[in-house]
Amino acid sequence: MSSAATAPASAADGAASAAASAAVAAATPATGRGGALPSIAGRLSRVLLRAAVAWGVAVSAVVGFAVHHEVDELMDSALQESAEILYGLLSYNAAQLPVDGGGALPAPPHAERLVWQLLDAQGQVRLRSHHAPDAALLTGPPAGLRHGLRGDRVYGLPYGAQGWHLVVAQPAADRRAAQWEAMLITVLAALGVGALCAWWLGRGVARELVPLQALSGEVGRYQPMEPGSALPAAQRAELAPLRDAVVALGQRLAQRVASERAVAAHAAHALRTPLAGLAAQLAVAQREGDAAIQPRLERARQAADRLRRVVAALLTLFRAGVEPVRRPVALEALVASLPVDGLQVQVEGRCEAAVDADLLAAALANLLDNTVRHGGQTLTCRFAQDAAGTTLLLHDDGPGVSAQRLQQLQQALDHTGGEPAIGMGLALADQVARAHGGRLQLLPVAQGFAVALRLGRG
Amino acid sequence: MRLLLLEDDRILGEGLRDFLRADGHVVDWCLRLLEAVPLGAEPYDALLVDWQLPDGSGLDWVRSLRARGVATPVLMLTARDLLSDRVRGLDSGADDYLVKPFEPEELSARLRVVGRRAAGSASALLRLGEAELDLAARTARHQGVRTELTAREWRVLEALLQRRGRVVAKSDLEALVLGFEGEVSSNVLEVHVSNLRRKLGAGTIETVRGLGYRIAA
Repeated sequence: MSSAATAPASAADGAASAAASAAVAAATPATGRGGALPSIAGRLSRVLLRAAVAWGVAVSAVVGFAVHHEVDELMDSALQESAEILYGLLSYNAAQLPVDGGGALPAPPHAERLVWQLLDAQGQVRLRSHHAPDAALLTGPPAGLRHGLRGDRVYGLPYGAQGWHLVVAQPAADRRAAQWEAMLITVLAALGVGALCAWWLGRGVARELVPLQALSGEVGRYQPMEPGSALPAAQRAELAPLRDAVVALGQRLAQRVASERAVAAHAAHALRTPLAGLAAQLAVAQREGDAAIQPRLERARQAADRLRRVVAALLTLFRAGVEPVRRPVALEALVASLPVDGLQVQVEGRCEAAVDADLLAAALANLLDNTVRHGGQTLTCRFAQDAAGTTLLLHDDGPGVSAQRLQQLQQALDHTGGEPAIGMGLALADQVARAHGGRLQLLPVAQGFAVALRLGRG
Repeated sequence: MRLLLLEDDRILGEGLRDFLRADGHVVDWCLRLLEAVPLGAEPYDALLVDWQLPDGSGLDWVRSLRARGVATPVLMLTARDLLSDRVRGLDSGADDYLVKPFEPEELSARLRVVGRRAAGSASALLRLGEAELDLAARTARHQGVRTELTAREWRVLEALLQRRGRVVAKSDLEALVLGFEGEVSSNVLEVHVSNLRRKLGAGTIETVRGLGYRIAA
């Protein structure tokens, strides 16, 4: 192959470049799809958190209600006990009490949690504690537990024989403060325990997911074709069927690949040896034959050479499942080393990439062969490289295909990985690109036929 | 060069044999490993060995030859084209590896490389005393004047060049030059050596009395 003196300068090249840029992105395989999938750990954590919050709220409500009720009873009981003790003290020397003025008994400055009043039969305050109001704490019959006029909790009991009553009250604010304090401490404790439980359960979930993560890692490293490679036993009963299914699948695949390789090796021998015999016999015939028969023999050798390339490509396609052996390759030199009679190849720029030279050469040889068979005379090859890989852009000056046909071809490549209808050249190139973690994209161009052969970095 | 071709495919074997003979080589062609094994002790310039044979593995035979100290250059001719196969073939003692299908011209070129390597020359052009040889084009000059060598004279010259510096027994040289072609008269080798000395210079080929012939290193 020789470089063309002039490149096919056409507006289509610009279109090819633009289409190629889009093709590079489109041909780059999607990665990191795991980010869009729900996470078992995340979902379990959210469920546990919601359960813990609901549990905390419910427990807090129940405990709060219970505490409120119990504290109420406790304070009522304390109120009653205090009233009875006070009754005893006031009855001890009742005649000496200053009950005529309605004043308070002398006392040092202090904060009163309980206030009391002695009410006569008409409900007038005859004696009271230091902080008790001048007016009666309640109206109506003062006996028993009731709520007073200020909302206080009041307990009254008869005092003496004149229809007097001793009334002891606990201010509503004090009761509410005590109740809220008890409830707050209890609810905070319940929520704290809930959060602790959520954290502990979360740790448990994470711990239980470790065997699953370990199995995922082992499956990723599992090489069914390698004799020494095996999946370790599952660490949980639920994972055992999954592990066994992966092993069975791996064994089936390995068996199939081994069988295909055996067939490929046999096919290689069965096809290559007669071709070599054909080449040798033709070479001898050329040496021994008369001058008149030389042109025919030369054409026969060309046909045999083409047959040889086709067989090589078919065998490569058959073995496309084989892992590419990547080595740094100067792509411009590789393209230039592919001889195709009747085609001028213009290689623009230089590019080095780690690829399987044999596979790539087979793919390119078939694409170049396609160009000649479809009437192309000149082909331009350019390179584009980014962090994810390398793209070879091939654009010929042949008749090209219609937009509809281009779409059909691309769909055939995308959905089936190459069906017979699309021809061996494109199918092989796509298989080689896929083996390198890339794809073959057909580019819409105004003139000729253009493809982007995308090769991943590997 | 005297070549042993071990190839079970009749069409390929026959084609290669005739092509290589037309190139001036002496070719012994075996279709079975069983036929080739007794010839392992014969003097050859190169062995062309198919990997897969009906009665065994050509590669195993090459390995056994190497184990016995046989250093004759070996070219593997095989349909196995995987990198792992090529590496295995070369690691087993083959000097070169040619994947079928190949053009016989390429095989010829590789044989010339084998010959040059054995003669200690990196190129096809070789200076021998007053003579200049082009092993690829098979042309010779003596004191700058073109001189024509016959096919058998080239074989004698190449056989000795491949063993340059070593004495080649007369019987071995006969086998290398004539193979099993027969019709050997008792002095045919002496005639060829004498002609070569006349055409390329008297000191080109030394006679080691009672042992054989040698081209000085």
